[in-house]
Amino acid sequence: MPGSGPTLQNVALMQAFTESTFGTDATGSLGSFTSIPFQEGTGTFTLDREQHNPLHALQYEHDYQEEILGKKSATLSFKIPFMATGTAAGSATAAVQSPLGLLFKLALGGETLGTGSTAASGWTAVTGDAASGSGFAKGTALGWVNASSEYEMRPLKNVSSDTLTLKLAFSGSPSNGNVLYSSASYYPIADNDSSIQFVVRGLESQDEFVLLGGQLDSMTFELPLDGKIPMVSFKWKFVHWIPGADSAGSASLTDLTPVTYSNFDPIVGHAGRLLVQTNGTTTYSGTARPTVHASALSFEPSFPYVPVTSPSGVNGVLRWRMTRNPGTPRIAGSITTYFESYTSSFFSDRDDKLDRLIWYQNGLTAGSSWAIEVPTAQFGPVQRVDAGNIASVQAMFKGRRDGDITSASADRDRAPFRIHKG
Amino acid sequence: MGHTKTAEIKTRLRELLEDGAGAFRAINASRFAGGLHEGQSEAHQTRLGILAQLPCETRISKSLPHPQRLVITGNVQIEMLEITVLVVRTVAIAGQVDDDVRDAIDALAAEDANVICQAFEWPPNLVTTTAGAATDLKGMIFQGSDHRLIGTAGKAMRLETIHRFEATAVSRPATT
Repeated sequence: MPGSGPTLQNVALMQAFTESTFGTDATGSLGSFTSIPFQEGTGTFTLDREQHNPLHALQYEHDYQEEILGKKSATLSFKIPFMATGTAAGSATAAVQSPLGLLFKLALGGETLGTGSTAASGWTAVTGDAASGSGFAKGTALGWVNASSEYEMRPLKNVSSDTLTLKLAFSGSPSNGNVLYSSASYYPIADNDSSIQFVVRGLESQDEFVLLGGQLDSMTFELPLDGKIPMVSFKWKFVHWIPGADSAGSASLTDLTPVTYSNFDPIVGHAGRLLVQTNGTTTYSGTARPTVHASALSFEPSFPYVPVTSPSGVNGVLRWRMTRNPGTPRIAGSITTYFESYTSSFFSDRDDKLDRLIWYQNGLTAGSSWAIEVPTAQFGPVQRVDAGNIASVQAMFKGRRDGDITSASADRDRAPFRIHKG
Repeated sequence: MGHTKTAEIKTRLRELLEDGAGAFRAINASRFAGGLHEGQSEAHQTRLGILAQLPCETRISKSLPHPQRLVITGNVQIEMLEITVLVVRTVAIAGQVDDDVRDAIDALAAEDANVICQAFEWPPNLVTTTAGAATDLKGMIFQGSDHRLIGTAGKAMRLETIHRFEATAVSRPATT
């Protein structure tokens, strides 16, 4: 490290790894850690160690008991661009995992990396054959570049051999030989027992720490529609931490040098498409519903984890377990759009208790796009609001198990919330 | 070393403005032309502004730290550029006293803003130059237009409009 402190807080490195054994130092394989491109100035962490007062009786009125050192724990917070991968999973090309994909997989548990193909003849806007359907799966996304060179992503409803069927139509029909892009898709699974380990390093030679036995504390999305970069704010919690000098990989913790972020393609947030369509209806329109011209958009995932304790655990923790708060959906959010109609609107969606697919695609280029899917959402409350002096409607929604994919046999098929990178 | 691809960005913006480039929301290739630069006399610029194909010039007016920049330890950094497009329209002497002529020129100058905005704000238009060179330009957002009438009464005057954009680009600093 270039000398001792004082050093700049904003020059730092953060690397993450999926633990194979809960809370066990994996830095002996530091080369397998993934560098995280977090936003400058947003990375903060705490290194906690409990101290407990035994409260034994004292004989001097101004004395105080010596406290006993307890167990360690840590927290880590940072913002990271809601990135694409930069790799278009086109014909015979596999989708790849980005640094953000690694974090989504750890937090939610599920990941499917598909492989693209090409379209056979005979496609409609909803269904057709691929040259090879083996790289696609229901519950993932399918991409296609239309005649205007706009990249469209749509949710896959079913894959039967080479026949692909969408939940929602493309704007047109892929022609014979057109590339069909697959996706890197992330979704919650039952009983995700993954844990994450971070190495956080500053410029000073001893400003380096390993945070072990981690899992998600919270995840929030910032989805600006004004050209800024969409971001994901993460908070992680850990059961243990050690200084770098005490880690298995201490010999590798040499001077801080620039690193390569793999599969990292930051994109801006003003170009995409929001689609809201009834489950089971495939009709698409680029100007009217299901296209929604939103002025604001939010998705609020809720995947709380609690520690499973054990005397033989790491600082008393055996593993993390995703829990469920009664009456709290895994995914909720809101859409704000200008007031256009009452009878065909989120008001009527609410009153008719319609099951609606919410599909938000950001990015219009293959390999530089992503989509958020709430496959079956119920709208309500719905309110008339003032949005920047535009007469508007704000509609809240809550997501449920995917009600549009039939023969759901895997967690991916049933997931109430998915993120696709295409 | 992977600096911001400013040369490719400038090339692409000129292609979008002057060559009708872009897969979608392209600007008509007969709307704008180059040939506007510092050092030209007012008289010369006034003559250029009469042409059906309007003179324009794109400048990178500022390079700024992006508010969402990343830590510098990586091989990717997010950059912000302020970009201006200058367009000149000439208002001939006779037109200066003709309401319809003045209105038409005002309207066209304002229309320029939306024409350019639609082409620039469509991210797929920005990805590569016509020759296929990557720009690493992720997006552009219109910030506003300023119109001003320049010249002396009794002579042809110029309506100069500066269209301002904020651009998000990526640089790729070396790691070795």
